[in-house]
Amino acid sequence: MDKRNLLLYIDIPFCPVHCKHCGKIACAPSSDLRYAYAQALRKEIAASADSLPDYEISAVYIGGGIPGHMMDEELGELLKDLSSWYNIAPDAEITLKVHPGMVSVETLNACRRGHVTRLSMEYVTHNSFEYEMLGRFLSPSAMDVTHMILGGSRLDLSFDIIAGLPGQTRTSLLESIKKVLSYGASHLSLYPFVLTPGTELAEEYAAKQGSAVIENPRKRIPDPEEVAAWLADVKDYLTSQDFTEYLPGRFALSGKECRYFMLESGGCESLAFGLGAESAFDGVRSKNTSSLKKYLQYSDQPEKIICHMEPIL
Amino acid sequence: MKKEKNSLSRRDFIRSASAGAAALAASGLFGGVVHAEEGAAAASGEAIYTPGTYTASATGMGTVTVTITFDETSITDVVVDVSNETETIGQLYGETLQEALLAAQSADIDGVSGATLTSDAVKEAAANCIAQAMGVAVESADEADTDSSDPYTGTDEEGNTVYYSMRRSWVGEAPTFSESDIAGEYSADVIVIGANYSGANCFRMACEQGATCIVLDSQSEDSFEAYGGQLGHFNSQWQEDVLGVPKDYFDPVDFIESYQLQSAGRAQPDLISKWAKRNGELVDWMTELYDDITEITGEDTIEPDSDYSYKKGFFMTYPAVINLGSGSMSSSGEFCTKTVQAGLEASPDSQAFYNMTAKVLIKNGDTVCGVIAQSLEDDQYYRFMAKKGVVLATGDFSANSDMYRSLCTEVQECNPYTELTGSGRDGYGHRMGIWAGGVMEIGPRAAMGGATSALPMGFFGAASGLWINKYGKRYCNEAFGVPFVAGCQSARQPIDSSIIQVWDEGHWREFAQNQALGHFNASDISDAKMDEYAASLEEVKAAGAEGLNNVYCADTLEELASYLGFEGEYAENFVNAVETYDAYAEAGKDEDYAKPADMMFRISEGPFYAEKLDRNANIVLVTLAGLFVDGNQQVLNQKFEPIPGLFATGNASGGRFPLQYTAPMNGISIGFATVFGALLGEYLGQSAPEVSTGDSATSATGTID
Repeated sequence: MDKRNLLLYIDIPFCPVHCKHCGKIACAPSSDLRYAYAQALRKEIAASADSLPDYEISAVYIGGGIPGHMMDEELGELLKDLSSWYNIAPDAEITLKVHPGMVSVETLNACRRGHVTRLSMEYVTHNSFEYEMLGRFLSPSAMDVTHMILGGSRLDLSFDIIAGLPGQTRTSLLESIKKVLSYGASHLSLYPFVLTPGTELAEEYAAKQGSAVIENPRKRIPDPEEVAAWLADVKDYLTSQDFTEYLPGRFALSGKECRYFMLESGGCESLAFGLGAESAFDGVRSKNTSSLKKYLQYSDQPEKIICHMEPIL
Repeated sequence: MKKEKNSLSRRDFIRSASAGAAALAASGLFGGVVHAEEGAAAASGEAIYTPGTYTASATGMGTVTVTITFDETSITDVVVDVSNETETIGQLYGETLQEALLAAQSADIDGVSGATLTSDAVKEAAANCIAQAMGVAVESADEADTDSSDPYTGTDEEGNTVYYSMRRSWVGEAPTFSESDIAGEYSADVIVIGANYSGANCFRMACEQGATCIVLDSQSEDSFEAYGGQLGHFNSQWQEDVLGVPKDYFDPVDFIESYQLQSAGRAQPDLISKWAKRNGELVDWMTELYDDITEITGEDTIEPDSDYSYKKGFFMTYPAVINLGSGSMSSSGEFCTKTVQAGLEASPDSQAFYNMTAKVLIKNGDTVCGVIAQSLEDDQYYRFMAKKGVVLATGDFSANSDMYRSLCTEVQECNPYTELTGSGRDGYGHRMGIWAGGVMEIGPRAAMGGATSALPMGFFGAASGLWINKYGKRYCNEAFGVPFVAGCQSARQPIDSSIIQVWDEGHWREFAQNQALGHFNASDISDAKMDEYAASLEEVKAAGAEGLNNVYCADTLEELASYLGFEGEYAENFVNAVETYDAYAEAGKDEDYAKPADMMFRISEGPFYAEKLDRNANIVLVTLAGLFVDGNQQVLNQKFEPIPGLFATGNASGGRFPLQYTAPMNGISIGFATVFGALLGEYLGQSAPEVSTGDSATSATGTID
């Protein structure tokens, strides 16, 4: 009997700095906490593995904050052991989210040990002023160092770009796209900028509502119609570079489409691990606790860490 | 601590709970949604405690011990042991406190007057038990440990107190092994851990000197990678054949003098002296492995008839930088594996083990005599014993943020709002050396970048022209910029300050062509390159107030100031700073900061240009600080005396960049690594004494039984 496809999502909610526009749970933890989290994650993943003989894992995504570099060694070990707990397809796609300037030789060693096949680079923009507006870590030029470190690595590279950032122009957006292609991108995710309520950036703009500062071209948030026109140009450009938009906002060279995204959009079941992770499995959508303390203590006891469930309709 | 056994799988739980959800949905309750409180059991109500019995102690008059038993929601039993307390007072109240705790179901009880110390101790211990049952036990226990010991003191191997200036949690504990863990044993004269730039050359040289050697590396041979790729040096055959600069052109004593000044006398003097005298010859030895060295390309381009002076301001600068991976070298990784191969050919009894990760050094008394390593192929542990020495050629520690933050004090202090991250290795080799009694070199410890890279890196590289801060003011003697003693003053400007580089139409060619060779500066200073610059500057002129890639051009300094965003006092500062600098350049004397006259170029003929650049202080490739070593690269102990049998080289060793990253040329780090590796191989192959491996070897932290 053919096994059913299953996706695994591993959430590592650590970032060196919390960006001003980001509404996700993320923290800059001490190494002790990172180690404790790695242990808890390991327990949750191992404890969830039983009674799944009828499934095969065809794609794994390690996301959340910026997992790459925050716990390289533990991650390498965890991914290495994944196949002893789950039926991992021999050609499984395994994606690790990373950040420019935070891909070390040790990150690449962990990728080798853990059979990672793709890196998803949280790049956002090539323009240092747009980058700074978001209060991001390091600067876009950190990608030059990462590019050098990646050297002869055979990992597929995907880049996340945001369209409609404060201060962004059509030219700067296209420059960002061209730049990531020069770094060897074979996949690109284009996200619309959202001023998420409650974030530091949203509060900054709310405080300055109506003031002249918003009219400053370096800080102005472009109109949605304007951005839509840019996106049409971006698509034309990417098409001319042999990229296809295989899902909304997702572009890839032929054969480099992200299997995780494709299966996910097709309604494939997924098991998600980690703080606040959301699974869709056995007809039920469930969500893990957002309390780090609870998660660290009880990660191998689903009845204690699953805080929300609803049927998938 | 007792803990309830996990009994429900995730799938079972979801199935049973969602069946409940379906039932609730059918009854019309909750709209089909089960929503439990954070961390509480969805089906069975609030579980506050992990059931079990927990014990904690605290200090009253003596030690009091409280033992509390919990079910999921309540305290079911309390035992207070006050037998160590003052007989007449404290002991009387044990039972009272016990009952109060049970009644209150918390540690928040009234004390007993006349027995305050005992009451407080009981409350503290009870709170600890409750914390354990609520699942915060590990944290509080750890905090207690941290609070009770000073992380800034420790003891040496003889038990003497040692005072540290930094956090030490990154040192961690050495793993321990028993004899039954060891799947096999190998021995040789020399064990080299790491087959990258320094390790590979150490191995090959020691093999060629007649020693039997073993080299271990965690990478596999067929996909071996080496990072960076520029080998800086001077006086090689390559320098003569490819650059046309005679191979005896540079005086080693000039290098020794200049490098000591750059490092303010802190560099290991014998290492610098040996490198200066031997580097060209040893690069010839390295390039021997390639048929036609003229195919190997270099980094810097100087017109042969140029009157370029290699001394710039205070320091020497050098042109010979080999691009590893060019010509018949297919990659910098292959440069390393081919070097190891040459060693194996010279010494048939020597061996290379790839996919092998070192775990802990083995000691016999004070002597390091081997290493235990794990094979990544079979996960088994192997023992490698050394008759003459073990070499740590294990690279840097920039991928270990804890080490990086703790050790590279200047870099972290220049970048207080970011956790430091680099692109190199995790410092495991340094830690193995410290577990075996070694110490880190004395600070400030360097990184390639960090404090160094706070430079105006732009149109003309990081040229030492006129630098202006956010107040419109000149702020330092720019001749200390890269490639010399780093952008240390730029890193000390306000964190949001741009760094602005200024030049003019009349003097920019002279300015651009007379910078020091090296990092971040233009590597090509040919006339043809200058013509390319001229074309780009025309585009900047046309861009007007908008500028082009943050370079601006204006006919007057006042106009330029406004393009840069300076207003009022800052705009005046800017104009004054340029005019003052120009006057100093014309006079050949910098009245403010004594910048050498040969590094000052006039800014007097418009139009004027300025480039506004990021302070950019926190991007780092690798760290450059290592274990404290002597002139033979032997690791020193806490008393600054050599540890028999233990050596470190490359980025695992200290003494090379003791002040910050000071670079007389591009590729100095790999130039040091390769040549120091070879020099260490020569020492171990020729003159290092044999050490005693003993009958019963011990690991760095314990006996192998």
